Formats: sequence, structure tokens, C-alpha cells
Amino acid sequence: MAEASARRTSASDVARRRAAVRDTMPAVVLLVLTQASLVAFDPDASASTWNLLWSLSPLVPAIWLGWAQLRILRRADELERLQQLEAMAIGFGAVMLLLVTGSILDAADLAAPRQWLQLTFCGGVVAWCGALGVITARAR
Amino acid sequence: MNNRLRELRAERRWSQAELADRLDVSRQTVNAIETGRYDPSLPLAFRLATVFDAAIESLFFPEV
Repeated sequence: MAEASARRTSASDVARRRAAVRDTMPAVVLLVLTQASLVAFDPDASASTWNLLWSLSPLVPAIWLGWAQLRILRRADELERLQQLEAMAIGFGAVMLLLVTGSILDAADLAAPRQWLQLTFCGGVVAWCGALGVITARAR
Repeated sequence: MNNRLRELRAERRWSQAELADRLDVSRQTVNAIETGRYDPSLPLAFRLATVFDAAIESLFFPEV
């Protein structure tokens, strides 16, 4: 019981976590909806202005997520901010490495740039989130 | 850097979470400071000194 009490999260942890969910969840839902609509209907972006705007619609939740991440960073305490920045640096390194690899493979006609860009984005996010998980687990 | 946070917290019968609430930081941060894995910034060190009503130099001391 005493151990459970010592282990419980602080009220500021809970408040920060709730605020992060409040900031990010609508953007995640919107991102899923816009992506799903693009996959389902595959609009031709060059056919009309409306289709172009529709094709670009995932940018809105993506920018929203960037803004939410900034707010999470501002609310974080000093150790959490350091951990977040370390994880972002690792994610950035992964993106740079994948971009260089992609450009070399593309020069050798071994990679499709579009697929490689998607792989680079996913690789960066995975490296960022994975690093954050490892870094925060070590501090627990 | 070593510190006496765990000892002072135990004297007051506070959990890490209670101390974290008083400092407005995460429990993880309190744990990392107590175990010497993280040295707090000067503003946080001053907040710790205020919470424990002690001088900073009585809370933190260099490793010998």
C-alpha cells in the first residue's frame, strides 16, 4: 500500500497528461479522418481547386499536432523537456540518415523517392517515440 | 552531485508525488533528483530549498 502510494503520479503529472490528450486527440482523429477520406476516394488534385484543398487537408491536423507538441514541451518540467528534446534529436538524426540513404539509393535508381519519403517520415516518428520511451523508462 | 532530499522527504513523511506536487514537477523528476541521475536547475534547487525551508548548500553537496 505504502509502495503504491509512493509510486502514484503527482497531480501535476495527471494535469499535464490530460492537457496533452486534450490538445492532441482532436488532431489525431482529424488526421485519421482526412487520411481515410483520401485513401477511400483518391481525389485527383490537379482536377479542381476543391480536390487540391482536399488532398492537402491532412496538413491541417499535422500542423495542429506540431502546435500541440509545442504546448506539451512548454508545459513539461525541466527533466521532461530535456528528455523530449533528446528524443527529438534522435528522431531528427534518424530522418537525416534516412534522407541521405534515400538520396544515394535514388541516385543509383534503387529507390522510389515518394515511398522513401514516407519511409523517412515513419522512421523519424518511430525513432523519436522509441527514444522517448527508452529515455523516460530509464528515469523512472 | 549528492543530495539529502530523500532523507528530508522521509522526515516529513511525504511521498515523491506529494513533493512533486509542492514543486510543480513530475514524480519522475523528483525520483531522478533523489537518485542523483539528474541535477536540478538553479530555480528548481531554490524551490526545493524553500519547500524544505533549508539553504541550498545544505541540500546539495559535491560527490567526494
